[in-house]
Amino acid sequence: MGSATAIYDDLNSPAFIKELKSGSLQALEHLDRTLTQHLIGFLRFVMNVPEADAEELASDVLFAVSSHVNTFLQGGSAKLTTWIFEIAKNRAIDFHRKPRLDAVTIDDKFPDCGPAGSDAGRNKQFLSWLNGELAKLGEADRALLLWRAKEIAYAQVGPWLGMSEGAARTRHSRLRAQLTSAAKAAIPMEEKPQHG
Amino acid sequence: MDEKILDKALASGVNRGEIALELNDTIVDSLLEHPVGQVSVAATERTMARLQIRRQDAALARARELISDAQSLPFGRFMEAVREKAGITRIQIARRLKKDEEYISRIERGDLNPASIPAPDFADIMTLLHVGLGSISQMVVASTRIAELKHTYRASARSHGGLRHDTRTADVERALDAFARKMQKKAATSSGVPPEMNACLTRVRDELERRGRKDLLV
Repeated sequence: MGSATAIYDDLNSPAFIKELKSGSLQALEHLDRTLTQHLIGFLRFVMNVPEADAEELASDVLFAVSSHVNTFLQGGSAKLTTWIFEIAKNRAIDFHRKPRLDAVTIDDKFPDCGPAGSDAGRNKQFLSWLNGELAKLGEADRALLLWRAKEIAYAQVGPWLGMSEGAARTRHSRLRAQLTSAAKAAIPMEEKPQHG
Repeated sequence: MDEKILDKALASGVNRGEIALELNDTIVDSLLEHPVGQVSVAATERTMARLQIRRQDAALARARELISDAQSLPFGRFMEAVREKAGITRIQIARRLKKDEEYISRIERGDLNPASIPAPDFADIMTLLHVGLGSISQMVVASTRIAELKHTYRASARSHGGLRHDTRTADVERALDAFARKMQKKAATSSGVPPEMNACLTRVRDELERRGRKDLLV
């Protein structure tokens, strides 16, 4: 009894993954119960998917996991949970890229949720420059900028990158300042139209 | 460009996959330990219910493909076979169809004449089992003929001191079904659809058309 329940303590344990791959409904249900809330949260608050769509996508992700769990490489480069979050991230990217006629931006907090094609090509040049600048940065600096842009707390991001909350805050501030001044120099401001 | 615009551009680029955001074990473990934002229990339950329905639908579709002799089975036994192959309980099927377990059990046993099932309920069952009108017609005809044969055998069993239908076990009922199917095949009577069945199937066709389920009309 003890060892049977212990399998379920860690979703990433070889025993649990073996159970999952064997098609155990109990293991699948446990995975659903444990991850559903986290996946909805990740899709909504990190990947900025609207609430109702985040629920739909979370069920998509877990459905895909049950269909493709046999392709997960145990002992490979990532844990099962990381593999599942990667699937969720990719589903969210597909969602944001998919043209939707019914989406209307009512909040400029997430400017990427506008109607299909509303900002097509607008940022292409800037994006290319930004990717070039990000590539020049170290892995930690790049991650710090991106996770902070996703509004993840310094207290959480800092330890991921092996630094304290305070150090993360200072470093982030310096990075943003560097990047914005570089942007000003590299990309000329649009000329304002003349009136009258 | 100010820092707010920079953050928006970064977030937007990540959302669209134009800027790569790396996930690793440390980050995901941390997100699991300290979730960002609040997700309601209701949202979680809705998602899990939706997921369960998708899994059931996939299992039923797979099971449906595995039943090779579907068209010679009576409707109820077909439903039972698909359900069992899909690993779904009668209670779960009953919930999906918004009926009680006893109702499903009566259909499966053949105690409920398919012609007496209301068209919307019939259409619900067909939608759930992914089965078209063509296959259903033959099953319904088989059901009727088998029910008639079974009725004869029951009457004869009673007259020879056999058990009443409510005291017979499911196994005996199933055996009776199988025997009646065999006899029905042997008899190879005319393959026409009885008039009451035709009326029932027409109502089901109308209901499917009303729902826009052209895929189930074949």
